[in-house]
Amino acid sequence: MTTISCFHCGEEVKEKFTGDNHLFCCAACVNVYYLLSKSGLSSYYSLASSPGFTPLVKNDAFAFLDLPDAVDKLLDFKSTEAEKVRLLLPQIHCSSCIYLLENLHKLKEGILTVHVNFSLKEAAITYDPRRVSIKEIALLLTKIGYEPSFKKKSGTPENNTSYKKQLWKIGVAGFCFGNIMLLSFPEYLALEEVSDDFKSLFRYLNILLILPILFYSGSEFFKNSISALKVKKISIDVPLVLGIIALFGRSMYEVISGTGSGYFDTLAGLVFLLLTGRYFQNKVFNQFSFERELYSYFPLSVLKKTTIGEERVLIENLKEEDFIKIKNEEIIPCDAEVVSESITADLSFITGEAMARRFNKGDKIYAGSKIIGKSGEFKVLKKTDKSYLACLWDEVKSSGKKDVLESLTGKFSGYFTALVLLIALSAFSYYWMNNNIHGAFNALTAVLLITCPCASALSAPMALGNAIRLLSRRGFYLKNAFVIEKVAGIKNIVLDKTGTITVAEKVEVTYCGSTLSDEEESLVFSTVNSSNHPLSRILSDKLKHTPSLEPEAYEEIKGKGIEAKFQNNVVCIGSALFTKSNVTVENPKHGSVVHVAINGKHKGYYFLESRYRKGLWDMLEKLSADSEIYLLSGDHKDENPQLLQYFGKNMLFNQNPEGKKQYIQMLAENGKTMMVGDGINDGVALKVSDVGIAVSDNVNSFYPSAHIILDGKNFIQLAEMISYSRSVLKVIYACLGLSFLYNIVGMYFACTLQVTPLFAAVLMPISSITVVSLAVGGTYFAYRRKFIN
Amino acid sequence: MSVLFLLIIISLTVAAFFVGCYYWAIKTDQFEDDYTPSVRILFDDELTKKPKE
Repeated sequence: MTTISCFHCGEEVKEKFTGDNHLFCCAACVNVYYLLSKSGLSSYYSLASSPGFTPLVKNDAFAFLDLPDAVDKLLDFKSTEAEKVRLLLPQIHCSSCIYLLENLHKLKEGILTVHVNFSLKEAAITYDPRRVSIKEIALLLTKIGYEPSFKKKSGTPENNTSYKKQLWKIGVAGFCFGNIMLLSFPEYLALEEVSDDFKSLFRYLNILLILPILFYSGSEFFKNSISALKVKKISIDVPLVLGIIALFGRSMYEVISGTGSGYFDTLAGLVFLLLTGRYFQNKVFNQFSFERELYSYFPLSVLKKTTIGEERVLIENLKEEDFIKIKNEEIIPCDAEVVSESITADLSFITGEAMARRFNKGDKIYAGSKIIGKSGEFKVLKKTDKSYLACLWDEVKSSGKKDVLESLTGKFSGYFTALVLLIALSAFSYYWMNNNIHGAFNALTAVLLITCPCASALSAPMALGNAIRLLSRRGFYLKNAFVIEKVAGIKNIVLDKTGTITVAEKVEVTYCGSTLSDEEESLVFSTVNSSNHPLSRILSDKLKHTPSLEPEAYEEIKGKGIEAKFQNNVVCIGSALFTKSNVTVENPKHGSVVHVAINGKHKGYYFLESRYRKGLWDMLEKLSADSEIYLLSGDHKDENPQLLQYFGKNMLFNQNPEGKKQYIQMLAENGKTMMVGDGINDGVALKVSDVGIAVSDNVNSFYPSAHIILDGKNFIQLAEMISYSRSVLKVIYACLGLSFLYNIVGMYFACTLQVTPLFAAVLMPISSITVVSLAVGGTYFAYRRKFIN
Repeated sequence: MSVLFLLIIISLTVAAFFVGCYYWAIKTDQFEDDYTPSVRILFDDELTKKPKE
């Protein structure tokens, strides 16, 4: 049977909705289609097939946009005639989206222009505040399937200017490099027709052109090496600067003394290539923020109960002792006391518990808990910034190790510089003692310029930059290039359970026992549907397609189960004892069991188990091959035999964030440790580990700060990612080895005073080009081998 | 041969002009988003007939 997909959103069509000879999956999609075609925007559908999203409209999701305070914070520009706002629209995914959004003015009066930035998934909207409000725009966007996300953005303008400066430096270096090459042409070709006057003119022009490179584009090398020397360290910039000075000094001497043309082209090319390499290495993923603000997890506003009714307030303005109302799927923004009779809340993000928990009147509930089912009322105990979660968050911020950029090439350059200096000085003193003063200076500068570590300085940025780019194709987003080096050295891998190795918020429900008829199933559904118990919520969600009946009598007995009376049936759902079950359940410990009895007869049981990610066991097999793996969970004990098989004794349950942190610190003493987690409860542990990976099933949603952000879909490729990082490191070693080989050859010629300008002009580009192609090609082939067989 | 003087001045001017363009492009955020404009340029030709404005 072929499935028909919706013309608008591409979902499978179950119930047919037609409009204009097209088939749709739901009325909402049909509505969007008509809305668009009426406004002459049908091109939306011809640019890509089924480009839309099923729109979900939550009634008061944008209620906070009625508050002028909240709106003012969002606006980029404000006047009486026009306001400009930039909205993050995570749903933007294809060219049709750009088309539709940029034609938004056809859908609504008052919208002036929309400018989409695809890579940031952002739309800059200018509108006339007298004719349309931002709330109306948000509702319109949601209606056509692009729900704006009002989470706070972290991209600072300061970041932006440094990026522009980098580009400009590369541009200046490129300009000077190209012109120097052009002016050096007569020298390359040894043209005899060009008179000496011209030759010296060209040489002086070259000096003029090298100055911006030295003092503007290359200034960061000087600054970096000075600051490295100040803390008595040798970074990769130190030998570079040494080489640059040698090249510049020697070239100046040759030009001014009229003995040669110098090596300005080499110097300019070196700076240009180095800057380009660093640009690729530092290219960041704009759409991710690796440093998160806690507030972006919370809603912006909340319903406050007042003497006259309900009022919407920003969470910053909430005070202690205020009464607030939280609805289904909403997050409690502050530590609070439950005022309603009983509510159910999902704490998986805060504590790591997989199953939702029930709270009764008077119980304390932490900020960050998500309400499930019935809405509830709460009394604020502590404001958001003083809540348990905020304290935890502040600790995360302060406890993190400073990222030390003690990189591989950094260490290498330390030894390298010492060695080069030693050789240069011994060559110098050798010729000096033999009374060859000219030869002594010649050898000194020749050694410094020929061993200039351009090749080795280029190899790491190029290899790492390329590796970062390739890994992002596989859903691994790295904070910076140095993370790869750290990943390669990992000895211990610690995994969180809920949301990391299991799929967040998904519970597998299986039924065992005598088959239930449709009528019986609907009886079960009607019974659990009225209950607020976490297990009932899961069951009713599973059975939601069955028709519901109204029970005549209904009783929930705490700790036992539910009994409901229907016209001619009595349904008991709950513990084994309560339903008089004598069935033995297999492996009861790694899930929850709910028994069903109808009219006093035990029918069977539902088994509720959090679902492990597909392919998890294979991945654990691979991971445990060359590292120690640990399971660290805030959830209750889980004795799944497969978990036991892979983790053995390395499983810890019921851990709070502090416990997790201490465990990581203990492990870190015997080797580099990687922590993989997803919730706030893992936040501190992620920060103190050598490599913290935040797993997120939806990269637009909230996740804690980390070194790597991993798309949940690609979780099982963690093993490949680690082994790829090791290969990348091997490629860098190979590059360093190759450039070392070039240096030995060069050094031999330099020490024996055989370095001619032609020799230098040939050897230097060749070494750079071969090393860079080895770096880029090597990382690419390793990627092909690890990820695409 | 003295024409070289002129040629060098011209070549440097041309190159400087392009550096100026590059600077302008950076200033006006043209490197901010390198995907959307490539799509946007195709929208000018409406794929279906336009309704009356």
